[in-house]
Amino acid sequence: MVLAIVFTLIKILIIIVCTLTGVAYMTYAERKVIGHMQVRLGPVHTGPKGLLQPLADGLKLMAKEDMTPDMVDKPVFYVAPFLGMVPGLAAFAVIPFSENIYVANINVGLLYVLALSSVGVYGIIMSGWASNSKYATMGSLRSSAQVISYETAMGLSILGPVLLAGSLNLKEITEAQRGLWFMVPQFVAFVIYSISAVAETNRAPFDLPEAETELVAGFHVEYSSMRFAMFFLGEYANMYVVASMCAVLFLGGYTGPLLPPIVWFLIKMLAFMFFFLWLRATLPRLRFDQLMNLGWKILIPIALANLLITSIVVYAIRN
Amino acid sequence: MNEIFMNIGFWVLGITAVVSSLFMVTRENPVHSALWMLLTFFAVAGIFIQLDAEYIAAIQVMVYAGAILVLYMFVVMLLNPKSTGFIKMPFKVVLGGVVAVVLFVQILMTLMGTGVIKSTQLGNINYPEGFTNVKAFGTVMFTQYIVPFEVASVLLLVAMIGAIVIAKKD
Amino acid sequence: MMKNIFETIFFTEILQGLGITLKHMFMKPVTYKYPFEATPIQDRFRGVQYIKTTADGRTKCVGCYLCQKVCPSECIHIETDCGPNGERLIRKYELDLSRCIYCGYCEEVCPVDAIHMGWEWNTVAPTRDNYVINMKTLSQNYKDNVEGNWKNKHLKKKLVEGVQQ
Repeated sequence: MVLAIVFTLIKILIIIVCTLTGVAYMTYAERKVIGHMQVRLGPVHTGPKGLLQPLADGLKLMAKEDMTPDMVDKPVFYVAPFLGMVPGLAAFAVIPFSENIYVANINVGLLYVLALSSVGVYGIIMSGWASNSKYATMGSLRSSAQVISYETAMGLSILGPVLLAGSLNLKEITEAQRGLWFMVPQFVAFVIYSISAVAETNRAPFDLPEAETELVAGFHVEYSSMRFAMFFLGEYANMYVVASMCAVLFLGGYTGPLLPPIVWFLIKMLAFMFFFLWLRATLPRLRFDQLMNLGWKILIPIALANLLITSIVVYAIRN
Repeated sequence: MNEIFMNIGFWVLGITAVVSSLFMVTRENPVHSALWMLLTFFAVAGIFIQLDAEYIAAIQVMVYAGAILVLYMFVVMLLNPKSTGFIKMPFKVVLGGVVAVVLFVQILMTLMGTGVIKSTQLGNINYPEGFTNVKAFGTVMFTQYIVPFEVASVLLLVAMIGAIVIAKKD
Repeated sequence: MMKNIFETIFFTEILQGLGITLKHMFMKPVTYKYPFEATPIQDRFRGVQYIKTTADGRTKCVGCYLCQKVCPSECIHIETDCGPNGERLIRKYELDLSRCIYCGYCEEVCPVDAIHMGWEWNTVAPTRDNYVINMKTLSQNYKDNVEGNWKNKHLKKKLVEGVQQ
């Protein structure tokens, strides 16, 4: 019993360390990829090819002064960064990286991830409200509206693969894709998921909550030092979560020929992460009403129609 | 061993739920109230997990914490209501207290009557082989309780259409 | 109309944009790592002036004051005198680099093709003393610029020295 607990704790530790390293190097990859897409170089000076840049950034953030403005609501202000980061990291508990690399294999894994991603918005709302600043409030209001809207579309699009696999367990969903990736029969759901995943993580072109040109930095204007860094860790961890979910639900998870399962999983996840960066380098930011129109008037009806058709087809085949 | 852990977990979660709901009622700042409510939801979700009802736990967090409470926060932040100072209004406090006590006793009586809380132990539900919580829930929901389920969904639809009509009045 | 619907449903325009960014990703970056790497200088770049000398080392400048007259920032200061054979001697030819705006009018107006804009641009110094340059420096600049293959060797050496300081 005790041994099992220790073993689980070690697994959790390994996954968290890997995630945080991945997050750090995602910032490096982002700067490199976007740099090259704009025919620039990106970071090159810190270490070989600039590979130590994330470490330098981390050290810089830790060494900075941690300021708390006078008029903030202190307890909420202090708790908000943790609420922004923890759900992103906690979601990794149920993701099957390989046939036997996972922390927990629970029956409602998918709902667990969805629930945590919906809780993630609290970090943003609380930081915006507690900062007592108009930019932060604007950013957090936009964010909460956006996340609620796109969560609906995301949840509806996820139900397609769930219906095909007949399970909410992420491992069983992966195993159900041995023959054919769900991306093929559920292409519409895949597109809707991709769009709403970008919106859900507040990434460009849906990065209205932190639109630099209008809101300075959005909800984390008043934060500095490690508290600021935590928001970034949370954002990038969330990106990894939605990318892993995309790999599991639509791209066949760890299944694949020749290479070991974990490598397949990482390839699929990183491909989706690259898609995030690619979009950011390509598309301009949407206006807020366009964002809402896209979410409520286009994505949700299409997702509902897709769900209806899938249910009918699945029912017809099963009986 | 396992039982001890379960018991510790239950007491931690239960006390968290009760204490945070007390804090929720007594905070003067509505945003703080909402945040304590969030903690209550999480504690209740933990208790559901202990009862082998993972589906309800996940839905609890997703719907209540993830959607409804966010809407509350949204409204509270937009309206930014001032402190009501309800402590100074004894009549309303007394009235509210009486109503709360009556309701609580009624819930307690009902629970006693059905025998749900007669078993003092946190029992695991023994599902048949290949039968998960989600499946059990769906089976019951769409066979035995199909009529209440449909009535509830029609009610929600009516409410939704009503909201749209009110919002689009101009 | 049909084409429009097709484009909306399959968002061909977004795909086009994605294609373009992907194509740019494999292009060679245009960045120059400036203090470590020399940036290219165009032939018509206007840097610090030089004054041409004749083959026997005497300056080509005749002291006509035209450059002083035309200079919009009044950075050229000339004093002349009469020589023993009645020719004009240039006592003083000063050019204040801290005032010069590198407009190139002096080069345009010079009747004897003496003053020219060079390619040197790295005039940064810790004191103001060296900003006023005289005829000797200007003639030396001529050698550096034209004879000394300035664009390749000289620049690189100087830049690295500057960084180390």
